[in-house]
This record gives sequence, C-alpha cells and structure tokens, in this order.
Amino acid sequence: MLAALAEFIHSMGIFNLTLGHILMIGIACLLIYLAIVKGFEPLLLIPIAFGVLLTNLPLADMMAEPIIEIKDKVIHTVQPGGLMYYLFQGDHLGIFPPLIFLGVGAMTDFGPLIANPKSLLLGAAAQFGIFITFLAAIGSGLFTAQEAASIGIIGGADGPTAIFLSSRLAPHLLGSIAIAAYSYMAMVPIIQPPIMRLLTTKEERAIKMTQLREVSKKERILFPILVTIVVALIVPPATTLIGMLMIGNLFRECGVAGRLEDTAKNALINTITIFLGLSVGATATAENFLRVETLAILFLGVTAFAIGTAAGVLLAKLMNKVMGGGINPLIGSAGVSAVPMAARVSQVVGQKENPSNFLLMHAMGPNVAGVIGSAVAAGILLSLFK
Amino acid sequence: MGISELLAQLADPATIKTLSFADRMLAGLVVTFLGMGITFIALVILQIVITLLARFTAQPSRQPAPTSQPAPASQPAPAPQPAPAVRPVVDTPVATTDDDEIPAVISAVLAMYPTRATGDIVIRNIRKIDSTPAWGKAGIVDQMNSRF
Repeated sequence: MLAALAEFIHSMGIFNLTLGHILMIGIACLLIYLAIVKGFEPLLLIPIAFGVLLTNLPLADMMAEPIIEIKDKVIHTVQPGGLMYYLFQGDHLGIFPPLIFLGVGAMTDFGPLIANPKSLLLGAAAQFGIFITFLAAIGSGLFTAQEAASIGIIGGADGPTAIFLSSRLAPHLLGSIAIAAYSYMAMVPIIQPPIMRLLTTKEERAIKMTQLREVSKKERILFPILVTIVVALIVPPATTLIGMLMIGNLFRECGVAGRLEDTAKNALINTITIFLGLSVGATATAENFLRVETLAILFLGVTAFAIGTAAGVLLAKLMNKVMGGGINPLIGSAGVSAVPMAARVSQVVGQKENPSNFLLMHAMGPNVAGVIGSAVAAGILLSLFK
Repeated sequence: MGISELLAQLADPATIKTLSFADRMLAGLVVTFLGMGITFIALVILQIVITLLARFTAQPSRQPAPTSQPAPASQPAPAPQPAPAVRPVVDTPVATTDDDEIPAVISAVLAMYPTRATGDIVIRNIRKIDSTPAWGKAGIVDQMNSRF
C-alpha cells in the first residue's frame, strides 16, 4: 500500500519540479502578463507563452518524441509523442511560417510601394541590422555561423521569417529567437522613436511629402507575379516566403478569389498562428532557454533592431539630400518590417513635430518593402549556411 | 586562405572554432558585404521592374473637359479660402485602448480625402461625442443584421 502511494507520489509533476521548471513557468506567466495587460503582440505572445508553460510542466511530455519499434517487419508505436512535438513539425519542416506569409500577403496593400518604388531602397537599408548583428554574434565567439545568422534575422523584425530561418539553421535556438523577435516587435514604439529623433533634425522631421499617385488595378495584379519571378530568379531560397506572400496578395488584388483571400487572411492565418505560437513556445525548455546564450540573443536582438532603424533613417536622410528634398527621413525607420507598427511610429513621431503631417501611407511603402527585404536577406543567409 | 575557403570554414560548425578572431571577423564582413549587396541588387532590380510596370500600364491622362461657359474675365477670381481647421468629431462605437492609433487612423483617412491637399488640413483636436447620430445607429444595426 505504502509502496503504491510512494509510486504515485513519484509520478506527480510536483515531485519532479526543478528550479529550472519554476523559473520557466515564471517567465511564461510574465510573458502572458505582458501580452494581456501591456498589450505586447497578444495574438502571438499568448500562444507562445502558453507553449512555454506547457513544455515546462514536468512529466507532461508535451514535446516528447514518439517511440516506435519495428517488430517482425511491422512498425509498432510504443509511445505516441506529445502534441507539441507533432505541431512543431510544422515549424521544423518550414511549413507554418510560409503559410503565415500567405495570410500576411492577403492582408497587405502594396499600393504605397508600387506608387513610390524608391521605398524599396529603404526596405533594403533596414536589413543592415541583420548583417551587423550577425557580425557581432560571430565576433562574440559564442555562436556558430548558423546560430549567428538566426540571431541576426531578429533585426528583420519579421516573426515568421525569423522562425523560418532559425528552424532551418539553428532549431535549438528557436524558442529564444522567437520570443526575442516578437517581444521586440511589440516594443517598436519604445525602441525606435529615440533613435529616429537622434538622427534627424527638427526641420527634417517636419518635411511634408507629396500625396502618392493612384495605383491602377493592372499594376496591383501584375506586382505579385513580377516580384515572385524576379526574387526567385535572384535568390531562389527566398522563393518559399516570397511566393506565399505574393500569392496571398494576388488573391487580394485579382478580385475573383474573394473566398480564398478571406480564408487566407482570417481562418487560415489564425489557425496557423495558434499552432506556430504554441509549438515555438514549447521549444523553450529550461535546459534550452536558461543559458548565457539567451541573454546574448536578447541583447543582440535589440541591437539588430536599433541598427536596422538607424540604417533606414540614415538612407532616407541621404535620399532626401541627393534627390533634392521631399523625403521625410522618418519613413526610413519603417524599413524594418514590423507591419504596420513601424509605419505608425513614423506617423506618430512625424505628427508630433508637425500636426498636419501625414506620413502613414508614405511609411507603408518602406514597411512592406522591409517584408520583402528581410525575406531576401533570409534567403541569402540560408543559401550561405544551410 | 582564400575567401571561399574562409567562408566554407565559417559555415562549418566543426571548423569555425579553429578560426582566429581576425579570420572570423573577416569572414563575417564578407558575409555582410555579400548579403547587403545582394539584398540591394535584388530590391533595386525590383524597383526598376515596378517603375517599368507603371510606365507600361499607365493610363492615358484624362484631359480636363473644357467648360462650356468660361467664367467672365471681369469677374474677380475668388480669393483662396483659408483652410478651415478640420475638427473631426469622432464616434467610436468599439472601445479601444490604444490611443496612439486613433489619431494615426483619422489622419490617414483625412489625408486620403480627395478634394483637399494634405497641407490644408490641420487637426487641432479629436474628441469623442457622447451620443451616436442616427446614421451611425443605422449603420451599426445594418452591420449587426448582416453578421448575425
């Protein structure tokens, strides 16, 4: 009787709770608090944080791999794996992030970018953060090139791209990278404005931009097709992300696939977000997360954001000088993706300087160009280090 | 050691530890240069493609139709009206906690207002009105009926 009771007690989670588990449960609760009370990207941070919670409950085996044996040429499942293990295969095999891009494409209006193609340069400049952070991570000696590339991509401010690249190059860092990427994306309104103000003068921030031209329907339909062809021909590994982004956008713009557009931007993206968030969070086990490298990732991630923002603003300043004015440098910071928050930050900072300034639509150009830019940068890193 | 050999060693997790700090940084700089270079080239090519796209799909600009009764020359042209300060009165039926977003959205909507240049619009105040106007109520009822 006593032996049975002792065995039962040993099978309880509480008996197997370690300090690491307790710390991770605390981190999960903090993330849930930040998501719900502080509004930090709640749609993503809640599933991620709950995934962290689930995976750190002892003996729940949410991420356990299945145990399979082959007996008499027949496969037997000795023990089925945990639910999170199966959901994680969507990240591990690179399925979920492109599907998120499908929904993002269906939600994105590329009109401001088509109307002002110069925005693409700002979207490219903001990717500096990725590569400078890569350099810093390599210099630190803590990381391999694959890990450094996965950390650098945080600077692209694009969650699905960060998950896509790190699942391919450094799956063991996926949890820390995803948490850093989404937390910093939520903090864009805090991180960016001081850098934007530091690098611009009062006069530059007050520059008014001329209204964008109207974009024809034909242009809107041809844009996703051409972008897919051009990017795929230059950086083939970026085709998965760009292809999905652009077919989502084609659903939106063609005007004859309304049902597909609706599914892509509502039901599908929401379903995938739940699966992706939970499974990414579930990779953040105590032994994977509570390491010096995680602190380094958090530090390098915010550096990447800051450098990307600065590079965008500086190129916009240069373009304003070279092209004879008319470009407000504040739109450059929107080149880090974080759609549409980074564009809203440009609008808010610009309007503080001049209440009649309307930068939102102008900033949306570099903002959506940043999505393309970070997918291209991810493709380059993938081709170099896969 | 050639650049391609250096990159190969950088890319291999087994050999990266054998590289000196200087070699690692040199390889990292090469990756940075390559990465930013290709990103810029790809996006500049896209820029050219989009510019060409706009040229090829441009619709012939509409000539303004001549007015049948031109205004008599003797009549003085109306003096340009000073831009009235637009004070949009906003009714937000859905409660929202993000105060920064509301001015941004309202500004964007006003900027898209077709008959007025953005420079003419000055937002001095945005305030919420207490009672919903009749058209607003009708809109809400219509939306509710179409969804439930």
